[in-house]
Amino acid sequence: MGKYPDRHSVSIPALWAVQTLYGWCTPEGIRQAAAVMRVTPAYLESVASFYDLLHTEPVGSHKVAVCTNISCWMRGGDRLLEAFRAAGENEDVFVTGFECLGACDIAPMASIDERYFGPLDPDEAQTAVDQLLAGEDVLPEKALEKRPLAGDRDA
Amino acid sequence: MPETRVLLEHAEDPKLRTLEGYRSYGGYATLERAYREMEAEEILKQLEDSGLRGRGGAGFSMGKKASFLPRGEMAKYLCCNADESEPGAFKDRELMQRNPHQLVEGIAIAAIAADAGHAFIFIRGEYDAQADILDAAVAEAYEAGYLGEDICGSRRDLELVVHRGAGAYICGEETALLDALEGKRGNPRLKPPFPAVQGLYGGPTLINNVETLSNVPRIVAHGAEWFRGYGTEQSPGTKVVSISGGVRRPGNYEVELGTPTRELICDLAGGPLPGREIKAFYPGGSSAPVLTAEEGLDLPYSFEAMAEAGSMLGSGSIIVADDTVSIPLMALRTARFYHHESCGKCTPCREGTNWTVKMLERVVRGEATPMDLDIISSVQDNIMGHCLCVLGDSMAMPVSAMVKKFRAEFEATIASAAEASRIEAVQGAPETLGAAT
Repeated sequence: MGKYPDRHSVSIPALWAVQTLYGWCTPEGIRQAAAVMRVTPAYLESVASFYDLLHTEPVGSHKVAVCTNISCWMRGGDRLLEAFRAAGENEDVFVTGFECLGACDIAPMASIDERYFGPLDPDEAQTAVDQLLAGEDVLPEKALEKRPLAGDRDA
Repeated sequence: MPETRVLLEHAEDPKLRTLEGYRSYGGYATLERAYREMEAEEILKQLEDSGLRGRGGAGFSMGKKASFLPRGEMAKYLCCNADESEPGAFKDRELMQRNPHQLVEGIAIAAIAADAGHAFIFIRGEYDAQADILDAAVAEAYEAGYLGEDICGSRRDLELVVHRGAGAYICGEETALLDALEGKRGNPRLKPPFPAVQGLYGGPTLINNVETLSNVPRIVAHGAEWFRGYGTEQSPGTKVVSISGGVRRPGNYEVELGTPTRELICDLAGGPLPGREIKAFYPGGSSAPVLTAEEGLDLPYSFEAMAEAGSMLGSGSIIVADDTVSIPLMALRTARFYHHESCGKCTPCREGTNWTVKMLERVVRGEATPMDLDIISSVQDNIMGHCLCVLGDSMAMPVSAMVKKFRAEFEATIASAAEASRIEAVQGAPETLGAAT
């Protein structure tokens, strides 16, 4: 809280911390954060419910967000989402369609445990989920971080 | 056609991410000079003279915006808008990921001009990898004395905090960003007062986009004239353009503003996929009115040319729709996004996005009549300019442009979808009869 001129600013970081600790924004976690921030739990709940990345219900420990916005949709984002749902939507893996994730260059893409991968083929969804559950590196060759600038790639 | 890499210069070198690597290319020399030798007025003048226009969407002069902040002793703030959430835009991601120190240096220099003692980078929560990179860069900059107290012996202080959002497009709107940063739900505020007068915590606040601030070190280093050497009279400088959709090589390309759009799409991005043709494109992210290929491809890619053509450069993101894309489905996809992201504060946006989605769904199901297309257009007219922020307009502009420019396709979609459902009804009938007997 010391980083901000006003302690209220810490509400999103506090909710992130709750989510990291409990897996989602649990009522107990929200009560604890609210006590530290000296705000009401209802205030933090109202903030949590506004944002897409803060979960107010239990979700799986692994998160897969598949972009279904314009550019990904043109490149088959809906099929990719279906493939991920079929591959492994269970209590460990939380699969959701998502609005633009800001990676239209690797469409269709998915954010898997907060890291970006693409362009993905629906066939790769099963591999990705298996690797995720086995604790392995997910589709290393499709990681955004390893991708060179568009102008430096081979045509 | 080659790119003109200024902001993305040396971006292929992974070392650039570290302070050492950035300094080996001359980084932070401008910050040192600015803190040791320059006054706020001098920096402001350079920024104003350079004609640098905001790269976040509105294209407002950055120097002017900074000059609106009142003088005098009071807490002032600088916010870097890194909440890049516009469908089609992914340039800030690239800039932060490959060259985080350029942004940190830009923020620190702009903070002198704005006389801000506290700065924030509001980065969208989805950009977790980029936020980690920024965290590391900021920590290095503190360590080196480029942030914190008494920077380079200038007696100026600057605190810089990387603040992660949590997934809401609306937080890219500057006043919603301020609310989110203050720990509230990200709802836009009524303007005026503008953030330059009354922004974060009620203090004067300068808000600029990542790409805008990344331009600052070089403008201050080489001067306004150098910057004006790139681009056009009204759109000086280079621009990192995100190109995606139906092209062979989607990605970020840095070019001088005013480059022919056709060269961007067909040359750099490799043109349409094999056997396809370009039908239309959004020239500036999903909120820009779409241009047909005939209208748009031969225009120079600049703020003024896009405005003249009835669209906008916006954040500089081109989404190409090829001839396999159904425009009514694309309109629906666009409308659904804004419907999902509407914060619900203003009625025209909340209800308008909702009804537009419902009506477009009727179009693609074949339940609409051509008259409904006029109603869709009139709903868009009633959203535009009637809300606190431009989220509603951002849906209304592209949707009304699509209905207007591709009306025949909308009508054909209604007719063919209606026909398909009639056939289904007829073919379904024998089965029903069979089951009854």
